[in-house]
Amino acid sequence: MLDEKKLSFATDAYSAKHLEEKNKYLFLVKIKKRVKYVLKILNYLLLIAVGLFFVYPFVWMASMSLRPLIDALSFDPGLIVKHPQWQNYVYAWRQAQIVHYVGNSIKYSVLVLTLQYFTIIPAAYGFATMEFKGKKFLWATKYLGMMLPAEATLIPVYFFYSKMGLVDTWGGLILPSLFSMFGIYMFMGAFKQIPKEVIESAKMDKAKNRTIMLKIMIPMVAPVMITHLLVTFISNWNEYYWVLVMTNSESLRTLPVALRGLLQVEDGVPEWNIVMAGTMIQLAPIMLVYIFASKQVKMAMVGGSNKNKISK
Amino acid sequence: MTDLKLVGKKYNEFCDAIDELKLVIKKAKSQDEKERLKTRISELKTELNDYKKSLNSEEIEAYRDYQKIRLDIKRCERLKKMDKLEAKIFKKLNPAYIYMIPAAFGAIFFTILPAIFMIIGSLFKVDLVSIWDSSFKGFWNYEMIFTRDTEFVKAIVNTIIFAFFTVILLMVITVLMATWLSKNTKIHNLSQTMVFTPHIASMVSVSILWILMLDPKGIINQILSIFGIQGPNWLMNTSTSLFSVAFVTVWKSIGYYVLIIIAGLQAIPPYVYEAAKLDKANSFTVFRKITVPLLSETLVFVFIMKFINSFKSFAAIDLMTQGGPRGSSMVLGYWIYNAGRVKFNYGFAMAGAVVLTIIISVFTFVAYRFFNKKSEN
Repeated sequence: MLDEKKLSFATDAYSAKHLEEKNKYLFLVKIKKRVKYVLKILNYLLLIAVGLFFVYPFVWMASMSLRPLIDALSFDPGLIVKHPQWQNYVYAWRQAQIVHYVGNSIKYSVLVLTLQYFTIIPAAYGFATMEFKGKKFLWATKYLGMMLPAEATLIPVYFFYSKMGLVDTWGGLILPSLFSMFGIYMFMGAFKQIPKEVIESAKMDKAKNRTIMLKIMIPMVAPVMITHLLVTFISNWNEYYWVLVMTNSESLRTLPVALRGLLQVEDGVPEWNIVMAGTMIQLAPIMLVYIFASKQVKMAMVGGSNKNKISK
Repeated sequence: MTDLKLVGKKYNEFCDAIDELKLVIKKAKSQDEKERLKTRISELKTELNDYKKSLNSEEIEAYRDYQKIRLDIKRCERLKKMDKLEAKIFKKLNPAYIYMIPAAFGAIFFTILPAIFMIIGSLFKVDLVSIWDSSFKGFWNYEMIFTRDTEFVKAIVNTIIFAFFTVILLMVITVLMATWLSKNTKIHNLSQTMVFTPHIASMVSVSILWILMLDPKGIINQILSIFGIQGPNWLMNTSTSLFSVAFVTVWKSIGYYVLIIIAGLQAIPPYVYEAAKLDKANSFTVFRKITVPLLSETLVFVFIMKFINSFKSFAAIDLMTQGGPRGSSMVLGYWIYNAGRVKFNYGFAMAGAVVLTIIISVFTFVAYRFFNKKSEN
């Protein structure tokens, strides 16, 4: 009896109104959760859509490069090609002489990538660890260089080049990359992060500057070197202005400049499928690197420049 | 054991003799004597070889060791000499200068000399083939480009419009997108990666791509026609060509700046946001009162960089419009190239370059001043 009474008392207290309110509240929470869930999914879908806005054109380009010319000229936004025309690539490779320009591009990139460190690393080391007269002056030219874009100094530099016989030579083409301030800042920042104790102890052992640089500093900044290699490879592979301006003959021109030649036809429209095939060939190495190492590439491009350009 | 020591003794004797003879050769005056000494040396060498051949295997090992030791000693002597020489040089000259040669050469050859040459050259009617034939004209070049050249003034106006348009558009889009994308889920990362793609593609490929997309029959106009809008010929229309190119450059660089701003956002300490949450601030207030002010340093850097870079957009203009139609998309960078490398009007080009440099310096200076003041407050 007593138990029953107690029970009824207990249920009384929470019955009817309370329970209803509780149910209502729970229902509201449930709905809120569901709405949030749906919103989350919508957000994700939107994110993907925005991402596609930046990727779709490249995929479309790949599909264009596989179409026959008539289909290509219709500018159909679809991506699926029924009969892929692989001979477009063969045509571009052979007839449009892309092979020659690919060779030049590779040569240019390899030359710059290997030779730049002989000049950049000593300069960065000097800036980071040494004191000398004129350091501030040399540093100030950085700002002058920022105000003076390559577009402005084009004519004077071209004049110097033509007097020194550097126009249309590999030496002239790679020369500015060897003194790129970007690389010097990057390595300088890395060298400055190395604890001073290391250098001091090396100096106590009477190590010379070059020993410190070659045997202590460079192994310590190996990750920066990889980052720098990645960034310079991408920028050199894509270089357009400098190569266009400082060459007169086709013998040294690289792939990006060659694509410009494909665009400029005498009459009518360019053969878009061939142009697209050429562009795909130009994009391929970088995109392959990006697909397999997207995180590293992003870190390299953003982190590298961020650190060095911000530091005043 | 004594045998082996003997080998070393003999070897060293031979080598000493040869070295001595070599020294004598250097001092010898007549040709005959030199010849004589040389034959003597070769004789000694053959003798040494013969002696080497007569040794047994154990002795040969010892012989090689002695050879190594001797070479080592020689190397050390050479190094000592070099060190002394080095010390002598570096007593007078700071070693830093040797390390700085490349940087100094780059600065002089690609910045200082061109700047001087440019300023002086802009006052001459320049003949690059025989430079001494150029004649001094005072400010004639400037007068001509400002009054006679129809495209130059247009180019200045276009350059400034282009810069402001790209920077403002980019600022609005990237800040909003960065706050939206700045989360560490897989989907957000994927989206970031996709948005970043155009930045690593070359400007050439992006330009070619957008020439097609902006074609009168291209994808953009196809989409517009769904909504019943007749899109213009974007790149060949005087009123849209500049903005189309600006849009493409913005499209290409969004990903880069978004990632930079996200890096800045992630540097903001999370407790700031937690405090705002406790005060029940809504998300817009948080964005306006916390995110933007704390981000201002990154933003200043980003947009000064972008502003300067937008003066340099050459590839996009060159490929997409070539300054046309009727100079409507002509910017200064392209004008200089056109005047100098296409029309061979070097004096004009250099005068234009001076004007471009002045514009960039003024804008950069103002931007630094303006933003530094703001961030101090």
